[in-house]
Amino acid sequence: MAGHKIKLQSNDGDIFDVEVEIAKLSITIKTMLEDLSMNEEEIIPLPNINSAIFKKVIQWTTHHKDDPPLPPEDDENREKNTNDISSWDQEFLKVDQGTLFELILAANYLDIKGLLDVTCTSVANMIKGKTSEEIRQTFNIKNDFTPQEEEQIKKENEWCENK
Amino acid sequence: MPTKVIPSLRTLPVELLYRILEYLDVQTILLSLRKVCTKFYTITENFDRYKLDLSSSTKHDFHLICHLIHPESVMSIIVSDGEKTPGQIKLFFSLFQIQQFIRLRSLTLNHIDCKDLNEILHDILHCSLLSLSFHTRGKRNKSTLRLLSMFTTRSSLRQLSINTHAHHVAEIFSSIQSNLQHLNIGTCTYEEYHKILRHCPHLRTLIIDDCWMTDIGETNSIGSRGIFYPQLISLTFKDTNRSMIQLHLLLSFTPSLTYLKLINFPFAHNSLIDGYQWEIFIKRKLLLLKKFEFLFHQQLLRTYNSSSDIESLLLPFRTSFWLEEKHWFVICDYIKSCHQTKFYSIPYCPISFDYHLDPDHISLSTSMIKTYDPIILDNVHCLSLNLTELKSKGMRKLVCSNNLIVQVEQASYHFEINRIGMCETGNEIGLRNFCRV
Repeated sequence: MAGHKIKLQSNDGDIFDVEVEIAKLSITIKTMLEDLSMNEEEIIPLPNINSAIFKKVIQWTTHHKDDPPLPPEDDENREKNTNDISSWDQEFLKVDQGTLFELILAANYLDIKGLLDVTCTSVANMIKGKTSEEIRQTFNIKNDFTPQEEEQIKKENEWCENK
Repeated sequence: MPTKVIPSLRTLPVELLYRILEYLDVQTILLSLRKVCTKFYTITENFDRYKLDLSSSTKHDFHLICHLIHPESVMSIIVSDGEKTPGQIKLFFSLFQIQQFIRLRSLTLNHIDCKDLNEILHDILHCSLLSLSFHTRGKRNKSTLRLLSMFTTRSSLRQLSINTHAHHVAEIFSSIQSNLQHLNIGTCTYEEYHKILRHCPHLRTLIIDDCWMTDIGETNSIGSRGIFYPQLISLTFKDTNRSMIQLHLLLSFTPSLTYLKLINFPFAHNSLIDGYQWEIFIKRKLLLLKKFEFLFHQQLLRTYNSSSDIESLLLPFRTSFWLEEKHWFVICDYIKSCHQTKFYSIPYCPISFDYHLDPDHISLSTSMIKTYDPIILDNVHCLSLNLTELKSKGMRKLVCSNNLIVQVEQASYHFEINRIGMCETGNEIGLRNFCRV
């Protein structure tokens, strides 16, 4: 029913009134509503998501509520194309890295495949074409290989030098 | 009180890291990400959905990737005997046996010699491939066509992409029905067009260069009336030289189309630019059509000097059917120096765009979107520029979003870009994500 709303509570206590059709883009929430027969007055807790991230999730799902359904997850032939980010999504994802990874975790927890796809694509685009050192710098990752392991990796590279 | 951990790439759960890896090329995964830290090293070792695209790898990277990859973790392979990677396919299959790739679902062989293809087809006959694609050089013999025929009837194969010539398709689709859902071929004859659709009852997508209609006679034209292939929902003609009447006949067999793409041969004399005729036809025969993408080149016999002349050509695309009912918007580019107009739906549908610097160029649109808006070239991956022409007309530099400025010095040069940001005439072209080939 269009316009019908449910109450969802983030882990920092904020309560959001969200249209059922938009909330149901999350398979997790859809399952709660349908399988657990939760009534409309009940507040559904979302213990893994804070209000700032949930606001972003609602913003994304509201914009994408009329999108056609995505191909099934087990479709092995489905191409994953890193150019497939719409201009709206590109704007939406202009956030700091912490927020981007929190969005990935939220999309995974709420089971919103479209949001998970676009956030993972965005991270992949940040990695693509970079050297190991550039990836470390971009994501602030420490090189924790032992000297022996470093030597082993170096040998892998040298293996094909003479090919 | 526990401190809040800010998530980062390194702290993401493994299953999400695997998901990100699915969007990455094998070069980035094995040659860069693998060497970042011990966690990523282990993850790249255990990842089992590798897409092995070696078609543009250097020899060094090719050998290194082949050394590091575990065949059982590869889902798809693309190898090529193109100009930059001669002999790659033979070399690859001398290092690996196809049976080692137990999870392989997609195989692409680009620019393969027909003799090599024959050997490989024998070997892959027992693989459970979902997708097979190849572009061959040289003459195909009967044995290759027979093997291809066996492939099309394999129960697992869903997607086939081959560069066939007309009169070869009949032999490939000569046996029992196939389970193909997506087919991409070169040219075929009128009879072969029917044969494909008869033998592929599950076909959803058909992409062809053109359908020759020299074999259509009075008899088979009448005989094909009333024949429908409702399974097909997406049809593309990539390089057609058909007339409006011929296209209407072909399209009338597939009333369930929801997607149609038509690109005509650049020097075709058949006019396809009559928006009224398309409107009438679509209203009668393609009631389910949601998306109509096209590029119609039109050679002109006269010279147009004003926008109002071009506007009259665009008028049939300004009816409520085009603008309000379907929301299909059209641009007309008139390139005076070539005596040619290009009518195309927005966004421009081919992946390559030839840029002409013509001072008398006229560009009009049925949309409010400006004709140099980046959205128009959203699908374009490759831009061809004749720098001799640009230089002679005062072009001094190309400006890119990463501030790369290329002075025009070479007499003739070719550039390829990932995505186009903006094109405008004048002394500069602004481009985004520019890379030089």
